[in-house]
Amino acid sequence: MRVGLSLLTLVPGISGGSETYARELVRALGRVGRFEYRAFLPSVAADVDGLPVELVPEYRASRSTGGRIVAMTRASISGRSINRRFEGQDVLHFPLSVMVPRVESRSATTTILDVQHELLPQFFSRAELAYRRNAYGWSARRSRLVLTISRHAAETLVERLGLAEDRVRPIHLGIDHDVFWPGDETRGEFLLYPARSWPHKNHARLFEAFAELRPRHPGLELVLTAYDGPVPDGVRSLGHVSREDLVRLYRTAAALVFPSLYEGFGQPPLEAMACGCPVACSNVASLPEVVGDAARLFDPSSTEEIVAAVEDVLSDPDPWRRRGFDRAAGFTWEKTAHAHDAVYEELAS
Amino acid sequence: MRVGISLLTLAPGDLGGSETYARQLVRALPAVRKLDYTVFVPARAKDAAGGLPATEVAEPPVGRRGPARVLGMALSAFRSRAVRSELETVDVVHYALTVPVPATKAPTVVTLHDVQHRDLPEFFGRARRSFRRIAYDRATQSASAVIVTSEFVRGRALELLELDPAIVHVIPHGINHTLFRPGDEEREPFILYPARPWPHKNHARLFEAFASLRKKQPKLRLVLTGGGLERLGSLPDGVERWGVVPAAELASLYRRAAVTVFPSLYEGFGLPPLEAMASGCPVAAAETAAIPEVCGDAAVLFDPLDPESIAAGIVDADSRSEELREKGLARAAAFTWNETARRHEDAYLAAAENS
Repeated sequence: MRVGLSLLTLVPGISGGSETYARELVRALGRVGRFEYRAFLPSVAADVDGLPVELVPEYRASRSTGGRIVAMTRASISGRSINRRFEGQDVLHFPLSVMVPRVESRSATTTILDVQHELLPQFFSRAELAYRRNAYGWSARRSRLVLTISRHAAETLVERLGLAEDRVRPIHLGIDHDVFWPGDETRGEFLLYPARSWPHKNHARLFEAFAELRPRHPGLELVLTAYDGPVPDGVRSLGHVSREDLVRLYRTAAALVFPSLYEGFGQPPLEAMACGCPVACSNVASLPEVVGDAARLFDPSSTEEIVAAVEDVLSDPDPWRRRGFDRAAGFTWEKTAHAHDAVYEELAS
Repeated sequence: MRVGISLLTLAPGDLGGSETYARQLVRALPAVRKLDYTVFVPARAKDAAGGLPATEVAEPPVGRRGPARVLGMALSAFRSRAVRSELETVDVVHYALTVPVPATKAPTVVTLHDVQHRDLPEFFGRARRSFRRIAYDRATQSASAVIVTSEFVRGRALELLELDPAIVHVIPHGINHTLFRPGDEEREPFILYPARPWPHKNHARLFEAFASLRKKQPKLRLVLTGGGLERLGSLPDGVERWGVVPAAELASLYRRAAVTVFPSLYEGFGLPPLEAMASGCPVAAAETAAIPEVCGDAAVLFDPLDPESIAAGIVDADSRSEELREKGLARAAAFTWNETARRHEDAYLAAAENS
């Protein structure tokens, strides 16, 4: 059986979680997949590896919303040559939330990674909101099955897009345990929060909580990565860091604090757990489902709750560390790949 | 400071957004001006200089439009003593229609209306594509200031033409509020789409959407205005081809239409949705290119590649007509040619300072 994965909209370095998902899925299918796969790539993402690939230079992936829409428009008006490349595949999978190119096929599936715009529309520009609603809407309509990355995201899709429950399949993401494992570094006196400066990442509330924590824990620092806004005293903002540096931070942080207001999945808490870092984590969206009872959960809208959760973890980190490490071990990309294979098989039948 | 504005490549009657822009800009500048102007105009469009002093250039012997006329115009301008002496006195030359004619040694300001020739090259013949590549891309790449009509064009221009972000100014178009204003006409069961039949105007998908709407409302009509509509060939039931209509009649159509629809696949700005809003008409428009930033939250946005989505957008706009009317009027009020003109003067000053 032949499975085609279309990654035409992949632009390296801008889409965070969805890029990790696409690359890791391709690699894991290459290791453990049971079928014959082909990944279709735009020229800008020619370095995706793990499966046989086919470059589609006529598709111009772009990093801006405007450029993305232009590229999709173009693919759809002059798309015959692009569509022809996908003929002969028994199953088509669109892992990046949008079906590009648009195909008429009984055996197509799209992974819609997050539905944040449905839950927190105030964080989106009008153009981005309209684009997501329309593009996700027709991708879902044209797909026989819709994949997503958590039960929470699946429920939102059923509720907001009106999809039938049996057409939506949650498949959890994995963790690369070759990268994320505990080292023997000693842990320092800092809290870690790796998150971009997006409003739903809730930095402002975390800063309030940190201001209350600091007088009681002199010497405690808060370290941010990927953030580019202004920061208060005692907060160190490292900007973009390499994956190696991030692993080192997970291994040396006193705790990970994760006050996000929305996640489709929530990989950082699991990555931290895999590195033996105790985790205090928001209790909204997919997060409780992902971290289970292995993180100290808190209500991210309450400063006091964040403070209390961090103090609990700091005062007795070992149980959290043990439970976390155990929890993370249950998430592997191989498992994710097997679950995809089961869906591909169902689509072909 | 003295500014020369070139409208030499104006082909009267094209009535596209760029002609409206050129004419409205020079008409608004006298009201706001702090600077001195001369406007270079072709002889057959000398009225385009509006209230500003004009320098007329004889019509070239060949070509009514297109690259041949541009070359002829360049030659006529080069030969014209009046143009040469004016060029010696100006501090900045503004190519309002992008094409850099007449040539000058002064710092230049170029208005870039879109980069469609690079974004959707398959919609252009080879000749027009290479003409635009040479004329547009070089003009902007050597300019001291580039004026674009939307954030969308700015983003595309920075990405595709590698311009210096510091010299690219976003200045939206205005709306002629004397012409486009709400009235008390009854709304009638027709949908209005004012657009020439360029491929990116997406008439075919609109027809599909319209056919499905008409099944439920057999009296519904679709009114098309704009030049060149004969090229669409025979039309589906209920679709009417009105062709070029005078501005006052277009304004009246906006006041009477149930919905103005704008399914274009590509726009650097897109005046019709705002004109409709200024007339109190509910708007359903494509979510592509500059359209969402121009419409704000005052229109229903749909996916123009999907006829089902176009049809749903029209129905939605029709059912929310009261709400959209209020939002549309407020939105359109923010766009005036006087404001556009004022911001052009700022760009002229920046260009002169820059070089």
